[in-house]
Amino acid sequence: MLHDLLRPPDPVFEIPVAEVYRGVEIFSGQPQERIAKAKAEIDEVHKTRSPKRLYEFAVDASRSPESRLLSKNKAIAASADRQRRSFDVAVLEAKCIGIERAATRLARLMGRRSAGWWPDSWRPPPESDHPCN
Amino acid sequence: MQEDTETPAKPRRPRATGRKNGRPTMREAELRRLAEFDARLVLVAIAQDATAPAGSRVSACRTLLGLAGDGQPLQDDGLDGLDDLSRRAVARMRRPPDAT
Repeated sequence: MLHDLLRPPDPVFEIPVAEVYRGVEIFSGQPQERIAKAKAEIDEVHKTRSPKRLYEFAVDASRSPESRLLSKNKAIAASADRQRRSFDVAVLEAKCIGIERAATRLARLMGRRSAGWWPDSWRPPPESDHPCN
Repeated sequence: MQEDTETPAKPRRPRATGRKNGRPTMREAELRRLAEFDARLVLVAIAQDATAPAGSRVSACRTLLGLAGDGQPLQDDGLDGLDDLSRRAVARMRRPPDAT
């Protein structure tokens, strides 16, 4: 327990915001084609209302993190209106870990393991730029 | 033969606009008044006016709360065409992660 207290906390790696599109923060450090694809997927999520479809969209690692984040929150907000939930919120949270704009390195690693890809915007800064060094 | 006689330029008679010389036209005065108009100051004056009706003071306060510190409206994120569910999802996204 003392070892856990002495260990420095996992630093939070935050991605800068390129722009805000329809209420969703677009991550910077991405090519324009990638941003256009994320915007199209955000429009698709805004049109979807079914919690089940929103859940399937959010757990789909091939989608952009911005649209997955919106889909996750919309699925939870939509399921709150219904008595019977069509998915497990804990499973949804676990499958969407690491896609937030500000997340720890451990969460990023877990998200990469889930997604199977490593976009440039997720790449942490080099150790020389770290404020602890 | 005609002699090349140039008559001196006759000064133009000022237009009969009903205003004195040197005064701005109505259009210029309107533009100048609009440039000096500050909607935020008007709202502050209404909100501070103790003799004003309570409803108008509350409306002014609500409008002031909807403005950013520099007097500009809050950032338009393109939420106009969204339904209530999408708005709730966006609001949920903007909450800090430790908020319950």
